[in-house]
Amino acid sequence: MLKPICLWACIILLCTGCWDTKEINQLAIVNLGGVDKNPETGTITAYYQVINPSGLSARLSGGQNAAVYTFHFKEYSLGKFTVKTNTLMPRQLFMPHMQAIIVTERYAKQGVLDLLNYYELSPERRSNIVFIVTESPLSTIMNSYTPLDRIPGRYIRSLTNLTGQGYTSGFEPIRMRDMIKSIYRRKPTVMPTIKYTSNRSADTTERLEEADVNKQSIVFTGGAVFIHGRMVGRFDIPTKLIFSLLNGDLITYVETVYLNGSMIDLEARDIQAERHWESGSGLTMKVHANLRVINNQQNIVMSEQNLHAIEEAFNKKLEEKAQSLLKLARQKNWDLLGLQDQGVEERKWRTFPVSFEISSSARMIGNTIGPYFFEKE
Amino acid sequence: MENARISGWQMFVITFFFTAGTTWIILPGKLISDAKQYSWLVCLWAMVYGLAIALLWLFLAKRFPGKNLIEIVTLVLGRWAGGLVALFYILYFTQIASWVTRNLSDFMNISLMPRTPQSVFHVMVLIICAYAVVKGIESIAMVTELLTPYLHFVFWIPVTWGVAREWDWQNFNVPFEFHFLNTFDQTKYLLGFPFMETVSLMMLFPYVHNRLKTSYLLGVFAAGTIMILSVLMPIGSLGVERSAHLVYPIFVLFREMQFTGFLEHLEAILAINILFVVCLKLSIVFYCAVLAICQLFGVKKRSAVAYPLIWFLSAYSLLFENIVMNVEWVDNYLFHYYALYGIVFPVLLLLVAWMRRMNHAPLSGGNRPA
Repeated sequence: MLKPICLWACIILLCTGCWDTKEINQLAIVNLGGVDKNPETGTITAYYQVINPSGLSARLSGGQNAAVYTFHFKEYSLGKFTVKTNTLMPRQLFMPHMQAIIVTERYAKQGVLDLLNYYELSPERRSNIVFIVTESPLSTIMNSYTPLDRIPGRYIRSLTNLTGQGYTSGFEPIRMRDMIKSIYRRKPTVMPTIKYTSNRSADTTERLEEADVNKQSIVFTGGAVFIHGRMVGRFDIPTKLIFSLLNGDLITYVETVYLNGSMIDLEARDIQAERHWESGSGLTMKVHANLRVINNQQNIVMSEQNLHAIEEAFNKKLEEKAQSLLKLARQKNWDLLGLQDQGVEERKWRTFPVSFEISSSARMIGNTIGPYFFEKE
Repeated sequence: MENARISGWQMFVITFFFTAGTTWIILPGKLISDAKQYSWLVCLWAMVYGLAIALLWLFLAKRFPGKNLIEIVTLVLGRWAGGLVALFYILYFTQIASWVTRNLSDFMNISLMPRTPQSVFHVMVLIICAYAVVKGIESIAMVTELLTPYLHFVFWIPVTWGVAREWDWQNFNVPFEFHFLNTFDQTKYLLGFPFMETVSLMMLFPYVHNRLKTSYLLGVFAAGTIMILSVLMPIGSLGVERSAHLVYPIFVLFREMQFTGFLEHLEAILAINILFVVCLKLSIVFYCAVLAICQLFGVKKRSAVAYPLIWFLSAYSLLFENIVMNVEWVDNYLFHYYALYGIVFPVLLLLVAWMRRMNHAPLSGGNRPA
């Protein structure tokens, strides 16, 4: 009685992988994805940048084979793309290792809720990928090789990992999941924008022989402002940083102040942004930062008095920036501080009193106590 | 009936894994959808209910020491009426076993292996559990005891680290008006699943040779605490709205965990954990079902019941066409249905026993003849 059951069980054990088997040599491992949607026709164009393992291994032996290949397909519905890839791609589409997804600005402005829903529903796709909006044509970005990291997806991920070090959680909140998490909130989500520095894509490995990286490269330009999954505007990088700082996400950034007619660069560290709600007087945002002097061009020896002056200059500069962000929020009707999410009524938030109290402590001054300078004769 | 002995600690881990079992992976999404950021409160009062009802069953068991649920039923209600109620309990145990099996295949299908037929998962896991059942309750208890450190270690270390990094108190500040009665009504399924399922463990009470009451109540308490943490973690990390939309928020939590740039995609660890925990729960309830059948019909060999039961459970687990139907059933009917086994029958037994002036049965002590 037991023998046939055991035999049968063993046979079943052999079968378990048959349906969902994934042979690594038969996979098209997608490292970077791109999506565009034509607002007039509704046609969706999807780009898949697939890793070429032999191209990667050739790098070690000095060759310059293609590390990735880019495929693109057009369809009217997101759910059909996996099947559609079978018309051109001789491998099984494999999405779990995708690093980032790039969408066009025109798609972002139409709203990307359909894309977010599709990713959340699909067990083969992950929402913790970096979400980027491109100002340049998607085809140019997706068909280009990148320096140092020949796989563009990894290149983008390395860049975002580096910037992420300045954030509370160790990651900049620019993943698709961050947008999904905030989809019902009134506070906008800010996703990075990129552009390509040339009109022509670097679509062959010859580009990797050129020393001038800036000539043809992907560069981060600022932030795309999303409300309820739809892009409504844009930030430059400094505004994006202040937005993150006031919302408690950013803990490190570099600020330039002018004192005695000279430039001083300060690294603000361990930034703490706290909110104090007081009935009647509104919201007081208390921000404290520890400062490190990383560039000092003053023609004086550093003293305690001078350090206090530096702190004051930093406090003033940051307060000005915070006030201008508040003004921008009221002008554009973007609740950048998330006041409504914290209970302020919809009709009142634009006039709701918000004040800033900035404090800082200059803790580190670097290797020199003062700069080298000559008295004018 | 086998001549087995279970220690208090073993009973505690059995109760814990049986109660937490599939609940901590399946219910958080639905609970958060129904009670938003207050879902931890729902878990809290469900746990209190679970402890209260466990005391009722312990009280019933105390009146008939050394007897399991089926024996109590047949003793109190007589051969025919008792036999009928015992049949109901057999149906109940087999239903729980088949739903647990289905929970596992749904999870595997939705999250990991979408193309593999569900029956393959059913048959495979049931064969393993049937083998465990044939080996006896001591084997199941020892495996549960053995796996306990591993299961906690691989779950709590990544989850604590990962959730701490992503924790956001703002997630608890979602506009939602909390009305106790409405929320209680909407989430009453939690009282049934898992807390009224633990009545099944009355089948194991005679085997426990010490600290039955403490281990049983602590097991329910620990599982309730895990449920509270299982809803707090996704809320703090993923947010209320996102957690409410996900079928398995805890799994997604693991899937999106990232430790620096090289350690990510930790869902495989959780998937193995889930497989273990579900197998433990299934083995326990499968054992209860087999034991109940053996006792009612006087079958000597458990294997004669366990292996054929695989096919019944495998087929029965296909009752719901999809997870949506399953969730709707849980939402609308589960509490009422479970109340029959968790409240109505035990209270009926106590009443009849009281009316018939039945006190302690002649047999006493934990050990039973084989």
